[in-house]
Amino acid sequence: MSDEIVLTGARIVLDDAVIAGTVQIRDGLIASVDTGGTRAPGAIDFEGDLLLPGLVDVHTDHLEKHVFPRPHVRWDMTGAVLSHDAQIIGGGITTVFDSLCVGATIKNPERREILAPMIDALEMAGAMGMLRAEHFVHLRCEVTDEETPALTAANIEREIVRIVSVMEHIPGRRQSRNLDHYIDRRIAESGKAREVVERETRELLDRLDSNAAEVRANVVASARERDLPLFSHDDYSVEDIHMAHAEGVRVAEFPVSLEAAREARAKSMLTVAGAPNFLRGGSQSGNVAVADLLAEELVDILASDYVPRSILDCVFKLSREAELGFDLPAAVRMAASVPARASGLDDRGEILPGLRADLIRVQLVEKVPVVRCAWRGGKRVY
Amino acid sequence: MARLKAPDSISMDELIITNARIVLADSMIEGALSVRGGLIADIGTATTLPSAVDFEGDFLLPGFVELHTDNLEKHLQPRPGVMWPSSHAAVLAHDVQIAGAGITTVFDAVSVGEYSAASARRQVIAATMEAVGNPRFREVLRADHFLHLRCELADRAMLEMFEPIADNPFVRLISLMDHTPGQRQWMDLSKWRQFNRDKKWTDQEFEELINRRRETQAQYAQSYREYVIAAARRHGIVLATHDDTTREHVEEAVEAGIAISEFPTTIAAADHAHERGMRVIMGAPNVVRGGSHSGNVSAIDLARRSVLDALSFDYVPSSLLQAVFQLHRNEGIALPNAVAMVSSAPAAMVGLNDRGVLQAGKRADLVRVRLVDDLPVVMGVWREGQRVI
Repeated sequence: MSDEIVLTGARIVLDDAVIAGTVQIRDGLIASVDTGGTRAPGAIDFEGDLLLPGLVDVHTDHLEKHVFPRPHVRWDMTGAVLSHDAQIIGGGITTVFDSLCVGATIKNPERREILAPMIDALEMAGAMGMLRAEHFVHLRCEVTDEETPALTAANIEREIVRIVSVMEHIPGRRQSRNLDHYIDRRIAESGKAREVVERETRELLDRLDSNAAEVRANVVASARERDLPLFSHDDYSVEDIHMAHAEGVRVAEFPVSLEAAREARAKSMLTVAGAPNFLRGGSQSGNVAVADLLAEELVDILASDYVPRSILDCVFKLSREAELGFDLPAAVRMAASVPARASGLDDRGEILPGLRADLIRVQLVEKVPVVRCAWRGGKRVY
Repeated sequence: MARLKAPDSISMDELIITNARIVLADSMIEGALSVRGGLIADIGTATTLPSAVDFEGDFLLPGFVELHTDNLEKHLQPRPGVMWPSSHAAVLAHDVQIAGAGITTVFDAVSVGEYSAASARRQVIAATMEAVGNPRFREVLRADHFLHLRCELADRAMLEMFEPIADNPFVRLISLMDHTPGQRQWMDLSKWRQFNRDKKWTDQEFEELINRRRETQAQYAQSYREYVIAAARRHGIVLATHDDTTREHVEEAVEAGIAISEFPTTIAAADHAHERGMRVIMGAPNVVRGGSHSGNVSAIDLARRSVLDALSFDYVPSSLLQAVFQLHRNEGIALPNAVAMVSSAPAAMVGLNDRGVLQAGKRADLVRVRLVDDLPVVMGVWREGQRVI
């Protein structure tokens, strides 16, 4: 009896309907879901608030922001993890895959050093019961860095690592396709002559290219060997999708063109879209707008990317904009059950007897969803 | 210590906490605390009442009071140049972070002044006022939010940004700042350039920029200062100075009747401020990192000289709690005194006498803290007796 919790008077968001009713939690699991009220003493009255499954976020790089709270100011890892966790749970996310960069891009050389300490801190804080959400690690492997295979090998065996993705940041490709912009910016930054910058850029591209193929193959093999879900990142062309599919990738994160998203669908791959892109009405880097992907029903999963509560805001915005054709259950599916399955978790993501009691209470205040409380494994964590 | 008085009747809003290490204004006790009507009702020895929340020996601290943070601005602009479309969503995200760090009263800093039009500061101000000022919304915020206007005196646009918001009822603190390079925080020009290294200025651009900034300062800073001081007086708003570097800066402040010195940059300024009866507030990240990120005075040095009165988290919310335990552990400052720096002292500085200390009759703003491997972790937060974390 002591570990039984009853939530009543709630509008319960199931995978295909919203019902007014009561949910019973026992031993950390959802024991029953019923319409109507209850006489159980001690039941928590939701007063008409919504009960959603805890959200599942497959991609956030928000932890890094707490590690570097100001440019070049590095914070202690445990403190950073705790601050990050508070933001995650406040966004209604009970399961998060912290997407940590493996390997550096030219702009962020410090990423090589912080990887292992970030994972250490996540493991330690989780083991000590200090975290409100459940944290897993999503290794985002930068294929242009020749150190990526060693960094991947050093961390991929860790139990907390559950997703691997391949990303390729090369000027003029994928996310940043305008090479002229890159060259102009380099000229402005370095003060060098155009010919010099152009030559340097060619050399850089050659080097990145020669790294990329080999590193990518290595990362793909490591992930497949361990049976980890493999995601690709920023696919632009039909060929990008074909390559990823052939490698065993079944989830395309943030495709940057409609063509790529359509091809991913044709190949039965799942597509992850960034919730900030939809909320802001377009991509920050001038790529395809998530609204356009949604209009063609090409989005399967919403990820918070860099703003933890954006998934929640996106879900409610979608359910309000009827012309897009998503009711609340459909929007919630993209934020809970589908990402749970895509990342290999079949014990959560829906309000269904037998699944983990990862739940959030949401109140709408002037149309803005406010997370009032959250339970993880039946335990109130927020 | 008397036994905790049993409540006459257990009402819904009653909260009893027991087995806590309670940090009082000047001592610590192991015992219990009860809450009635959102206020602390009684503090006494441990109770065995079954309805009591058992703290299992964790610390019970007063909720923290934060006077200066630009954290909300970070949520309104999550990436450079990205203005978040919903100010309400941004304030909710900010609020979670604040309460999660044990802060129950926060003064959200609003930068009044923009230096460059590209900074979108005006949009940020409008969004802040809308979100923090909305009464329906304030009901669901976990912390109690007030506003702190940081007035950039050496910026031409300051005045027109300041005027429409100066009489907002949530504005309870105004600070006077001047970030013109070559003085105060940026005494050392090379540090300023280093801090802005991402901008990759050429020497000539750098020169020109500094000259421009100095000209604007000469033109506006003095008259804007007088204007803002007069407006603060008119509206009964507390004033603070920022980045005092010299005794003269302190004297100027004292003369204007200002009693708070935020982030003095030298020992001389901090000492002098203290001598002249001003309260000194420093950044908690400075304590945690063992120094200032802009190369100025270390807050720990000020603590050792007993001229550090209060802490602000500046840019890392959890640094308040970390700094408290660090000052206690490493500097031998008694825990009640270290806790006062983040609770009763800042509350008193802005005239909030209803909170900041665990004492019968004060607001039941409470934080439960557990030490895990020496790292203080917030386990629960109550605001006016209601659990918010």
